[in-house]
Amino acid sequence: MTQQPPDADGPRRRLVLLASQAFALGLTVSWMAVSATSLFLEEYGSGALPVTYIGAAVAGAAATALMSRTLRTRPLSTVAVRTLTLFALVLVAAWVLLRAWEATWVSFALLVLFPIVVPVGFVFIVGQAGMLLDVRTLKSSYPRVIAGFAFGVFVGGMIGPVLLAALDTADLLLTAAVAVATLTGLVAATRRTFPVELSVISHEADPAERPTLRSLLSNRFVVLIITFQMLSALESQWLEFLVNDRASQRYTQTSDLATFLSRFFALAYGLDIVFLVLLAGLLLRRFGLRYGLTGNPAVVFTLVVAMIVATLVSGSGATVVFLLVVASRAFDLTLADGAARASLSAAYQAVPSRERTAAQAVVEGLGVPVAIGFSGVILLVLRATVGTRGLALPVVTSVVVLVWGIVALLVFRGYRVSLLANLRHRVLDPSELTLDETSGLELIDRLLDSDDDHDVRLGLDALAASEHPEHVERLVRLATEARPEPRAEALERLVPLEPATAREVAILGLDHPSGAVRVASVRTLAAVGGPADVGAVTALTGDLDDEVQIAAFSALARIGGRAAGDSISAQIAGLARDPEPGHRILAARILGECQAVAAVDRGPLPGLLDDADTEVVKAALAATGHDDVEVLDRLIRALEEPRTAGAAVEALVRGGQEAIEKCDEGLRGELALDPRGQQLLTRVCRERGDRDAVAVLRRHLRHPDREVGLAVMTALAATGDHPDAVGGSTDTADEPLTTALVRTELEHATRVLQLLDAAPPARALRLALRDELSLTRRRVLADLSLRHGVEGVDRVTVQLDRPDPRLHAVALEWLEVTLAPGDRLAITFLDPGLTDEERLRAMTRVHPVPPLTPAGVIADLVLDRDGRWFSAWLIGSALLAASEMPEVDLDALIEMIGHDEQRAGVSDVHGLVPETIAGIRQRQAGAGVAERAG
Amino acid sequence: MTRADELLTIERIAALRRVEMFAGVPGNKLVAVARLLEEVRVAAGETVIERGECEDWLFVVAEGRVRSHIGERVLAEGGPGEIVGEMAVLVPAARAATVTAVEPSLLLKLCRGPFGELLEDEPALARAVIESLVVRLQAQADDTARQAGL
Repeated sequence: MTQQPPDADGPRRRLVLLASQAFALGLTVSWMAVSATSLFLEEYGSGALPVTYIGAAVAGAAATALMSRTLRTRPLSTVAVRTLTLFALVLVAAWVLLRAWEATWVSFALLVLFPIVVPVGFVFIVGQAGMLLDVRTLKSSYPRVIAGFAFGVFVGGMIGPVLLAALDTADLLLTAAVAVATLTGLVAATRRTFPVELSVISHEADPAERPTLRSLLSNRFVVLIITFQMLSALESQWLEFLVNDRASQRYTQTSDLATFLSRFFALAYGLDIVFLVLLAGLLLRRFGLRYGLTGNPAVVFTLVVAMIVATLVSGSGATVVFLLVVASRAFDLTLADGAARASLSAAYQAVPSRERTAAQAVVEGLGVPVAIGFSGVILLVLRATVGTRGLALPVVTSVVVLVWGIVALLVFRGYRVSLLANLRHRVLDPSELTLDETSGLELIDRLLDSDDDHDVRLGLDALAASEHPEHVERLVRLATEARPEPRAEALERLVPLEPATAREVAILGLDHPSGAVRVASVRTLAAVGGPADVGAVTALTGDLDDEVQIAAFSALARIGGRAAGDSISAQIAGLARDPEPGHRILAARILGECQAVAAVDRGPLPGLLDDADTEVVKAALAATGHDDVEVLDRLIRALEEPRTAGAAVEALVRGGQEAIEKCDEGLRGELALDPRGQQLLTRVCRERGDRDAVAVLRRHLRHPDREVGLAVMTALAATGDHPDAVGGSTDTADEPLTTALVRTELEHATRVLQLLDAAPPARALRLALRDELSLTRRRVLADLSLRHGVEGVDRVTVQLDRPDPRLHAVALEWLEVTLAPGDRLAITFLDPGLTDEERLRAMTRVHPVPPLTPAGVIADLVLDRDGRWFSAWLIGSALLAASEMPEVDLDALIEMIGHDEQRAGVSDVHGLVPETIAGIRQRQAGAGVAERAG
Repeated sequence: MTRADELLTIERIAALRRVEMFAGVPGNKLVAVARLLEEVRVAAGETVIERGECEDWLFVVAEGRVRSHIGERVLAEGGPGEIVGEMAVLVPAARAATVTAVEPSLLLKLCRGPFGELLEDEPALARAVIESLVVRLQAQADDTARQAGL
């Protein structure tokens, strides 16, 4: 059963509701700002504005702290409805105070509230968007939601002068209250429409579950996002101050100022709407996050620098300077809405969900208020020293905007890395454990005393990783105690640290009742013992436990000299001839243990590899080593038997240079290995992973069998090799090899999609084409792994395979920011949200294909003039489909296949094509007989 | 050599792909399984499976129509592509219902014994079967988690 996709009932409805909310917020902001700012500037002048910023900082921090606390226990939409209702009541109360008692101090309170209204409003709207839309829809449709806000401010600004002609400036507060009430109604309606999505409580109730501010600030990417938003708030506040300050100088009457502000809002947000509708989505799609994050700082920096130059040339009161101030703020608003905000929303998706909500809360609750307050403090300092009307403020603003731009670049760089980390589940690494002297050792001792061997191993790992001074003492204690497994484990670890002590402890363990301890003891003597220990070890070659016997022979071969070697060789030869398979296995295992000992004769090995018993062969394969060159052909043959294939792979991995040369021969088709055997050779190369193995894999990247080719790509990617880095061969000059591979696969995918589109409705044929499409998908992903690393692409593959559109969106987003423009068609091919028809339409725009009839599909597959369909399943299905199609000359097709022996033979190990042809012939003959009889 | 009235291996593969366990296995990996299938022709009204019998094979309906029922109570009825006793090839169990052919039908029978041997010889097939079972388990786990509101 699949999860219901979030856009099952269409993202359109969700977007309309969110955009309507944004529109109502825009109306509110416009009327509230015009009214409160005009009244304030008339009463107190622009010099008092910085004080409202500081007030806004304190009030903002308090309000958002209260809000985020509430959000931990209640759904966002509930909190939104309550907060907005309260806000509407505040506006009505302010209007009453102004109209009834002319309490102009209310304008101060409203200006303190004003900087909080927009971010808090957007917390509500963006929070709902995050619950209702996935990351890709969010990125592509966010500008439309923001356009609702801009349209609201624009409409408010256009209506403002008309309202002011009939009403008092203070009356705009009442219209703002009506707009807030509408917004509240819309939030409630959205909650009723999507109760499941919006009933989620983002914050966990358990405080222990929440990341602390400290842990949050240890994430570099989160710090960068917070810094980005703080710098953005800081420069916006200064630009707004510049507009208000310069406007209050030019317009001294309240009504004139209110009219100017209305027109300014209409102009700024009109520009915003035009940008959002015509350009924002296009630019974001074309240039992505890099533009989205850096566009705003770049444009504002240019305008502020122009403002500085104009001030130097014409003086601060010049109209051109005023126009540049207005333009800076207008473009700042436009680009913040149309680029920066949407990109930040996407960037937040790269933060793990638990930290994401907390980071957003920190930004809104602390970061932005602190930035606004800081802007007020700096303005007060400037006013008290060099003044705010000259060059000082534009210069300081330009410096901040420059830093903002640099931070934007760093956020972009961190985005891809963090998105990958968000896709990944981390695991505990013992080396990350840190131990202090007392409590840490107590914990380790509890682990070492545990009945669970895993605990003991973890304790020993932690001791070793921390290089604890008690490490050796604890090992000696364990190596002499009764528990067999910990004793053997400790003894093994003691050998490299304290060889002499290890030998003493090992001698004590030679007659231990546990076989595991005897084995560990004998192995220890093999490593650190000498001629004095030969007698004790020889006694154990007759041990009843095979493992002890094998270890004893191995130890004897190492410490016993030439004579011991001859004796062991004779015993192995005897065991290898024994009719009992168990003894032959023992012979193979002793040979394996004595690999590095020259005195032991390896003569019995070929015979053991040819043994009729699979278990003996497996033991013999495990016994082969680097120098067993003469048995390489036997290892290759063992790949063909499923029961011995795994051991053969391991044996080849241990082989020398000659083994890798054999792999090359096998992949060239010179060893008559079937495709499965060839795939195993790629595994050998992958596990070897050295330069020669990588070189072999590179040579076979375009293997004619597509499944073997996939195995080659996967193996090469797993080695971490980057074929482009050393100049792989390509079809096209100057095109990197991996790009050429992806292009070829996508071209192939387009062909398969086209065949699927035009194929006759024969079930087997359509299944075979789907299999080909699935294989192509895996090849595209393997190609991408070669270029972008296995880890990221593997995560993407897992996410794309899950039945959850939200996971798909994150995976596709990673691909979008990772792939080069030339590879991006792969996203269309891999996107599970598209139908085959949509994929085909998009892909044929890049790889045009001529139209095909059903008969053309059959001819294409069966005749295979491009040499691309090397699948017997595909060709056989096409022939079977053709037998039901009167318009196809089946006999002619079969005749042509018969002449192309090379292709007919490739990958048809089961003889599927000849069998299908024979079956069709029989049916035709049967039908002919029936017809004649009829 | 197949008889003229027998299904071709390719047709059997197409039939097998209707079985959930094999739905995700590429056709070229199913050739050996398809060749293990035994074709069983049954007349209308003939009982295919008796309730309570402990058996270890599955049937894929290639042609015709079958009905599963307990006594007179009909549980389900299906045509080509219908599977009967899918899990029995992995873990034999008593049949929960009786299955009867509604019309002359061609069934494909897959027995546990040879299928098990094939799984030992074909690691790719074994892996594909395990994957399909894991996908089914994951879907069930997701479903359970969703129902539990997790």
